[in-house]
Amino acid sequence: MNFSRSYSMSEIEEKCLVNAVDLSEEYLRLQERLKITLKKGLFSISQAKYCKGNIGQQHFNMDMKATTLVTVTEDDSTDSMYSTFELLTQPRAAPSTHERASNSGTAKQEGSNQDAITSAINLLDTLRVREETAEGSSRNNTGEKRQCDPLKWFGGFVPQPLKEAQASFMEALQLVVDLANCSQALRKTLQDLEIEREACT
Amino acid sequence: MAQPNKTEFTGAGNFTNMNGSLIACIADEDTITGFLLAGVGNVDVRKKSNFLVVDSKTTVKHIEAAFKEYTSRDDVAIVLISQTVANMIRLAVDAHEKAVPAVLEIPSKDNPYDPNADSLLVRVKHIFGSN
Repeated sequence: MNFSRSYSMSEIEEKCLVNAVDLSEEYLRLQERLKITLKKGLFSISQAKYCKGNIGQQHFNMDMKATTLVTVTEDDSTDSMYSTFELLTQPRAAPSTHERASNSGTAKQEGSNQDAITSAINLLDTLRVREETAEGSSRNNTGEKRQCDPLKWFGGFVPQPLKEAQASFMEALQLVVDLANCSQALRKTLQDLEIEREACT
Repeated sequence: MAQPNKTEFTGAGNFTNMNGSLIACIADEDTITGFLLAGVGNVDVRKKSNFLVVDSKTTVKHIEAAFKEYTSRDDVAIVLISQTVANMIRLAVDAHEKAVPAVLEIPSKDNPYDPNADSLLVRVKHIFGSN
């Protein structure tokens, strides 16, 4: 009897170990992707600094409100304290017609490697146009400023690299949320493993 | 379709949408600028922000105080911290055991990501080593 009980406990432990290995591998893979995405975004910011001059804290709007949030979902099926995260993005202001025309011209010239970034920029631009048209009426009605695209902090003519940086960091945010979910699953697995080992001893 | 059970945070109303939580960030200026461009930045009516720009003049005490503040706020779900900065307050990062907010070490601008320094992976290595 003791033999069969210890066999089932080590089987559970083995499953936890395999799960932990898989999750660790996934975690490292996501970190690698995040590193590449952040590197691309930081390089774009450097390019924007070269075009526009210093870009930093002096441009931050200290009345900013977050437009990218995270929803936290608790797992009711188990007693686990670990939750899952999901990215929640609110629409922001879109660019003027002139900016859209220049962006579409730029998009045609870029190769396949830039397609993802270009499509993200165009989507953001479209959202900005919608908010701009709504912003004027809302200001007239309420007298208060609505939350604008952070790109507007940097003046009227924003260099293209800064828009690319924004798209890269938005992509990075999705990876961050995936990493957070992976880390939660890994912590849960490690906790289960520790519990099983304590039960064995 | 059944709605998942979403935690409602009843903080001081520091965020615009009651259905979402903030992402806090402790990193260098360029990384913070990037994440702010992506829309994570939030400053409430008491002028408390969810980000800290770390430069050569930022003290370890200041970083640690910001980390403890972000990890104790109800309206923060994820805390991003550059690994270089995390190494400066390693004890405080390792001591964080709560599930939410999740603390994530991200690659810093000047130094590559080191898996051997990540608190979570060190814990994994420790558990595998003791097997």
